Amino acid sequence: MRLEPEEAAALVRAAAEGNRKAWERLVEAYVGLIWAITGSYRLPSGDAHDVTQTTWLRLVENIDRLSEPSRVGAWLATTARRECLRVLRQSSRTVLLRDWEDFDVVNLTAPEVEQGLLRAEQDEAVRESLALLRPSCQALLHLLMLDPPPSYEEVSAALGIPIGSIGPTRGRCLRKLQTMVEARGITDRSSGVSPA
Amino acid sequence: MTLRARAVLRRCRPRSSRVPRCPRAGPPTHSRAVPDDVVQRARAALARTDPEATLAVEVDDSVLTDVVTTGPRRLRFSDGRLVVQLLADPRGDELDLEVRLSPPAVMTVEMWHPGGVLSGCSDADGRCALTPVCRGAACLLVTDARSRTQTAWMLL
Repeated sequence: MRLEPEEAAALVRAAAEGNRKAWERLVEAYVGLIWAITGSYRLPSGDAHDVTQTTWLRLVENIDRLSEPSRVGAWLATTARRECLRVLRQSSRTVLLRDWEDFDVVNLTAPEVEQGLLRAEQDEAVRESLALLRPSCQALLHLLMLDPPPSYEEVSAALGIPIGSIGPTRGRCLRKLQTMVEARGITDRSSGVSPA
Repeated sequence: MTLRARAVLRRCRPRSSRVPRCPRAGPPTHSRAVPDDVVQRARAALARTDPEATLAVEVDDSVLTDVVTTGPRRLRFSDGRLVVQLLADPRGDELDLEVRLSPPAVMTVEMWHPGGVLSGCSDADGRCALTPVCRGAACLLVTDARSRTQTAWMLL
């Protein structure tokens, strides 16, 4: 379950005082998000382990300095993103997510399709089509499919994109995915992918 | 050399705790599910800090500031009183690390890294070499009789 802001703030305050249960609840709530962010940046497993660990260690050393404890999820997402970018820069790899600005801003009314996509995730055809999307689309859709789903603020912090562009971009990515899935002879109903 | 410096030097017994092999976690490819050891390390993070130490925050990392990233990586931390500069020279899964303290001081230096703890002692010029340091999450603890400074965690 996603933490409500008040609960997140209370857990941060308790963890800052050394409450292990509160810390573990924070880990439970956000470790999936951080791990998914490392996947979004296509880090190898070893680097992904290191970034995830470093992100949590950074929270420990800053936990009594967070200006807004209720937004700890966004803080973790931002920290993880920065560490991913630092690792990529250090290893001189190509930053695959650099092209967010290239997206056309389409005023597409993005429907609520994550549940359908989650169901369809089991379908090999959908997964293969997903892998053919541009990396920025894959990153966004993977984050939005997390359980618990991150807030738009956390997605924004994780990928370094404006909150306002998440919905339109999601719709655009899903439309592309739908087209690719349909090209494989799979209908909306069986795939669960339907952006419009 | 001051009496205090001599005392620190007497306490410092540089140990080259040779790490036979640097641990690297996980399979080569990224899995969708969060690996158990990732969760365990996240849970364990709460205990991995020195509550008595002053935090030296990162003020510079050549990975972020240099246009061309060649040569040793330079990191600089400060707690407002002591500046800790690190020069990290990679060698495969390990690094050679040089520590420079400013103002120069004879202090005990401990590197917490994936291979364990590597200890040394800075000389009167504030310099100390630590090797081999394993790649991964690391931080440095610099102490003397009067102060205790821990750098922010860094990913080497």
